[in-house]
Amino acid sequence: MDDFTLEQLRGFLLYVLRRTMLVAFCLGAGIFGMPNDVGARDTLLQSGEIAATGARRIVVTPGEAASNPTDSAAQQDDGGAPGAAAIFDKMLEMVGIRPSGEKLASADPGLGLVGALERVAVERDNAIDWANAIGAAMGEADRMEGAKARLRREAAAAEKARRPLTLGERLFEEFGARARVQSPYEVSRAALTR
Amino acid sequence: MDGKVLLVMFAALFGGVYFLGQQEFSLGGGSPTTSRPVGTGMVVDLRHQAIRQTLVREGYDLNDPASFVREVDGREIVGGPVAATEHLRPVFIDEVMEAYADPVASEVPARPVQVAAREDCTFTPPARKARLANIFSNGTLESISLYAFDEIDVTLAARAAQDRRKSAAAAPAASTGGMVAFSGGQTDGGPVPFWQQVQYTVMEVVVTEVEHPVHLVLQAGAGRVLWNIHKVGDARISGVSLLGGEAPGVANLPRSVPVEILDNADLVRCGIDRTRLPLATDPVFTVIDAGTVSEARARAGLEERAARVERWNEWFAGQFGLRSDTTRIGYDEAAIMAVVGPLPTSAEDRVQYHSLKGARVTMGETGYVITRTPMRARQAIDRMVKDQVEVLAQTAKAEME
Repeated sequence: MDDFTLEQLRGFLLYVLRRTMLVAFCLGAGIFGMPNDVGARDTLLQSGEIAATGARRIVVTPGEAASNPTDSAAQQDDGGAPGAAAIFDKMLEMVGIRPSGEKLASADPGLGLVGALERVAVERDNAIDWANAIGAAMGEADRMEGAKARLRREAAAAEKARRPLTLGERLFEEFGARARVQSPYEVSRAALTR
Repeated sequence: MDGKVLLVMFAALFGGVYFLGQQEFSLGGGSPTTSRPVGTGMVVDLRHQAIRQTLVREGYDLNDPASFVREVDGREIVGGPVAATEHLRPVFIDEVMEAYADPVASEVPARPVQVAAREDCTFTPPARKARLANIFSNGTLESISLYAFDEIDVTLAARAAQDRRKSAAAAPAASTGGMVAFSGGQTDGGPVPFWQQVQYTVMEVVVTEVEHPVHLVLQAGAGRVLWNIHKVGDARISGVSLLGGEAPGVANLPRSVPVEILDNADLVRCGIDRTRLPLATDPVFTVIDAGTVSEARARAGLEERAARVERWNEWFAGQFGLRSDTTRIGYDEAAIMAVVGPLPTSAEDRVQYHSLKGARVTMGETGYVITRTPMRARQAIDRMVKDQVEVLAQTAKAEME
């Protein structure tokens, strides 16, 4: 705390808040999909099991219907809704363990964790892509606005060159600061040779 | 909720933390906004990011350092990571200095050495072979852990605090519930707290001149400016003349270099009026065009100003051998750095940043000097003002009785 003024601290917190909101938005968009983006991409909610096949690619395969008798039983208990036991079972499945204790063919818990981390990395990359796409769009809009502003400035300068000088401009020509011909560097070096 | 979704959300949270710590992505797109590193402070980076975005919207070239300097109301204002040079054009800081970092509060300088002002209102002329460098700064945005003030400043701050208390008592609806701080508690549009009024800002001075020794004339406008010197190994500084500001100071200067001072109060005492010719955007020309001032009156005012400018330049030339208006470098507002000498041509030639931490400081004479981090300094200054408020209240009470 000692090292920050309140103003700096406020600025820093604002910075963290903005970044966090942006990340939350991007991660949200990555996980749940963008509004009106139906069919454009599979979200995690729609996906069954995701297998990472490369650093930046995901392959989405349809989810398997619950065939495990334990799963079915748990769902039956709650009138079809997944109960706490079912959720726990699914979490076990996420790390590669069947509720019966049997390991999935694909992975041991270590590999399951690696898979989960890979999925996180993929989602993070998606979030970065979204953020960069938004940033690029904003940048393009800014550049277009800038081009218009530059044209307006050039037109104003041309107009100023055409019209007669105002009284203020004439007095500036007479009494105002003049553009320097020699730089201070040149002036001070020249003085040494005199 | 599906357990898988929960797990992914947790993973996303951890991923987000990793993402915050590791990744950068550009808002604004394209390489121009990301090609030039600016100060390492994140807050400052954010400020510069906003400025860059504004410049793009206004159609300026981000790769031209001159885009970051504007003339507004007759003042030249810096809005980005650029330094003033002796070559009539600014330069990007990272082309001049390696690893520039905005000073942080923990960079507390050593206890300053105080130098008396020149009683005879004159400076010792620069050494015979020394080249003159005349730098101006009107205070920067970079506050540092150095504070200086006199007894009279504390008394004035205490009176102001008393007045604020009285107005708060007279208008209870607008009262802050007894939370009126003695020197803190700045609100938007409110008065600048006393502890911030007496805080120094730092102006970095890079010296790359190695052909000749350099005599630095460091001119501060208003406020408290500490000039932090960064010189390349072979550069020699023959003397420093601190002009203007309030108790101006200089840091990281070799011990053998003489320092002479005439601050704003001394300039008033000596009848020296620093003035320069108005720039094109000066309000004086706007009011003439608006018809608020007649031509005759405007002309008389401008003639009188030109005469004052001439007197100032003659005095300056009498002290240092050259006029101020032909040698002056620097900007009016928010400048960070000025470069004396040729600009580095390669990354290896850039100057290293010299921290203010434990730096040797020479400054003008003043009653109190505090070299502490802002929080500690604020506590100490608040206590002094509070004590003074008590003294004033007791004095007033005694007079009433």
